[in-house]
Amino acid sequence: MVTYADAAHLLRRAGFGGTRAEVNALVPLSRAAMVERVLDPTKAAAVTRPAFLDDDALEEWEKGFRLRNWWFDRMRTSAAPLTEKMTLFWHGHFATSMDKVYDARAVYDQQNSFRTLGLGSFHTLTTAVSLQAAMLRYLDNDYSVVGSPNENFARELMELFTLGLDQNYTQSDIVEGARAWTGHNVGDNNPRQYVFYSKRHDNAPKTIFGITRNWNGPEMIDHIMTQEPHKTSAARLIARKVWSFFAYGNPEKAVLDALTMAFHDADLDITALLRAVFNHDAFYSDRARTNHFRSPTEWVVAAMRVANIRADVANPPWFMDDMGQQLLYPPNVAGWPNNGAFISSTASAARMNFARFLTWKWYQATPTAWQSLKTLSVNSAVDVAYRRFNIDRVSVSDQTRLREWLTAQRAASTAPAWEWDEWQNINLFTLMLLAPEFNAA
Amino acid sequence: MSATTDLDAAAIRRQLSVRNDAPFGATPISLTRRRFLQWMSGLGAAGAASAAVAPWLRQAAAFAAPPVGLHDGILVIIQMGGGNDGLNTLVPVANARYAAMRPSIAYRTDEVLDVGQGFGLNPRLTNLKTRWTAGTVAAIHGVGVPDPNLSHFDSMATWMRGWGGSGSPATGWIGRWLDTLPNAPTEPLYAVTIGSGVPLHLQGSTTRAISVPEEIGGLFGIDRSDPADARMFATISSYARQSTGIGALADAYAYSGHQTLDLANRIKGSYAGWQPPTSIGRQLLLCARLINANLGTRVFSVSVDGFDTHSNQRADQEQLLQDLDRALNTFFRNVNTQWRDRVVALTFSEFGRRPEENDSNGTDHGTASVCFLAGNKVRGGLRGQAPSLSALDEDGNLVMTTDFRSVYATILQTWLKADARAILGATYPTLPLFTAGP
Repeated sequence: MVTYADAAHLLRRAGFGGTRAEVNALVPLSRAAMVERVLDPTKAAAVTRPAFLDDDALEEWEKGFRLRNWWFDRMRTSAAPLTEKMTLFWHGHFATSMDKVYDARAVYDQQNSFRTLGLGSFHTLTTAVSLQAAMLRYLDNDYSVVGSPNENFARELMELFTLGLDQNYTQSDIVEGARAWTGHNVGDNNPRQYVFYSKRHDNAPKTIFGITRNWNGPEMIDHIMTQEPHKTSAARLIARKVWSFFAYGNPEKAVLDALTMAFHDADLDITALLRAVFNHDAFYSDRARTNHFRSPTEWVVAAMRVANIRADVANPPWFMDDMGQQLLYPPNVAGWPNNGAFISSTASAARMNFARFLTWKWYQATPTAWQSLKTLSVNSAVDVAYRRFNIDRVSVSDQTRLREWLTAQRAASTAPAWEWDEWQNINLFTLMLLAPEFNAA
Repeated sequence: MSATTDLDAAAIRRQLSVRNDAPFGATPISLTRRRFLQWMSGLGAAGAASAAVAPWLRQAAAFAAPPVGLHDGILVIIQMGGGNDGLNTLVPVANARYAAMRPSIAYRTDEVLDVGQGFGLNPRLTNLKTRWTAGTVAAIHGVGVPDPNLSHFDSMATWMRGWGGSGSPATGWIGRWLDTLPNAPTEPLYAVTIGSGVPLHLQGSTTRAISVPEEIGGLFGIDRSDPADARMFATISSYARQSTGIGALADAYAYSGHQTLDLANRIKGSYAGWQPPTSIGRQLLLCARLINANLGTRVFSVSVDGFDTHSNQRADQEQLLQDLDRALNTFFRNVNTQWRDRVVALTFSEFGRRPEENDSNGTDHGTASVCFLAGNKVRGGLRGQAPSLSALDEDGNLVMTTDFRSVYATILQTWLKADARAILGATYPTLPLFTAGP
């Protein structure tokens, strides 16, 4: 058996939060069995290619807008949310932006690679994403040809995507690597299609990782994923990023070593890494529980789940620039930061504005949803609100503030200076959305 | 690679609003690309615990930047989005080529407001002309970028980044100056954008600019007239009254919420009173009121879009220039007397437009354009060299005569008293734009 708190914590991190029923379903299991349940991707809804992608009447930015809402709704409703959470992770890792790629179909193809390959082999995923229009266009490899190679992709492939800054590669590897990636372009007549133009590929010998031969770009990936010391560097880079994403930054050496080894020995199978992460004692430590701040996407999706409001009604993109994260538009190839970086006055204001907007949409959709709270005592009503927001770790001081508020709000709802009775529900909903327990979760 | 489509200026600005990523208390770093990436990857790790809590515990005083000193300059940056046609703004009426290239949309000599040397201002810039006559407006000819790119997105990024060194930092020129100010990471009021999203030119490595909305309804917590709302805002603020007990990040979040509402309270007075009928008018009036409130703000950024006049240029541009002209006038008239010598306004656009008109009574994307600098300490007059209308580049566009970073260098050096070379990454010749510092 696991504790309720452990199961709730796992569902928050490995997904977007679980209802009481979903958490209770895990409690009777062992930790390992609970983790297997969460890792199981088979309950994920099948992907039907959205029709709007091929609607020529729409501009690219409109398609991008709809694609983003489509994704929000998948995150909101998925029965296997880890798949979508990993899609989000990979989107921040193999970062490309609609503002440069400006092609919703190419971006969708990439996102779908994240979704369908993101829990499998890191080798397969990296190769797939590298032989795809979105990445090649974003990192200027689309016109990289023999005689004038472009180094951008070759550098990021090693520095950001697989090895880490200066880990077992040199500037020379970048230069030679760029030559190896020439000819891996996009179609002359179809820029959203990856095409390898052999006549534009540099076929001469190149020296990469100390080996001289006629390297072809994808072979660099093969080497990194299978040969030492690169395979270990790759394992460590991804293990660290994954742990920072799900638990906390700056993992202790013992933790990082354990995860690196598990990932490495499973030949860089991502599910094996996640299994190691979610089974690790440190994942359930106090440090892990208290050093994570919900990114704008995590918070918005959790909010829309509770409110049960669709993305095209809640319109999170209107607010998310100021929150610091606009999906499909990472600020640069390094993706987004974590945790503390999402805390600022501008970001707080944006969360407040979205919370208010979402509250109204929730109230319009289900005006009677919280009526029963009015009949409860102040303390019970606040507890029920916490429960409906799936908050199992309550701050005593926040709880006290909420109780004080509700007491004052109810007092103001009676004659002679009466206020609209519904405020005690509507504003309670907003206060919960903005509660520290719901944001730092 | 640039976006090949004509993106909407507001959308571009949103995309260029690089999010404010610096955590509380992050230490300033140099701007090499590698360091930047290391910083980015370390942010989640960057002791969010210690870094986030420290200022929360340190700050007992009310939330504001240090007051603006008697000789500290304030800069208002006005971004004209879409690519403003310089040739119909500062019009070379005496040049026969001008009328020859624009049979439909050129202005005649008797239509423009004469500023000498064969030039006249667009007829709608009447208030600007009055200030011109008083000697407080400089018009800088032919300001552009060395390797012009006709993409809105690329050009605007170049202007905002304002960089002359190697690599391509993710910061903007004013942001890098803000980084040098005392307590940059924890003083959000040094730079204010009116609108949503903090644009790239205000983004620094550690500094935190904020955005405030153009109208009062847009800022959560401003309108406390309804008691239920006021009670709710007070509770949100109270989450920060003591440690949440569930971690440093929760505490930092609670504190930032409190800061936001406190800020809203401090600036809500600036939204009271008459509101101009145009967006740029409201933005600039708000700037004036915020200056008067002396919150310590040194830079304001406002924007007006619509200058991408591919068709029907004369009517469209005239309306925009009139709105801007009136808004600027409202701004200067509403800045209190004691601030007037410390305030200067700069206009810029991501590019100018083609000298030759197109078939739709408009113009297509071009290169160099005019920048205006207005304020009591400005050395009024025509600055720089008028771009040639006969020696055009291979696309038929103007060849710039002033590098945009010279304009920045001058402002940084003389008005903001900063190390222009360090901030821009290279040295640029300055222009005689000021009679004196602030």
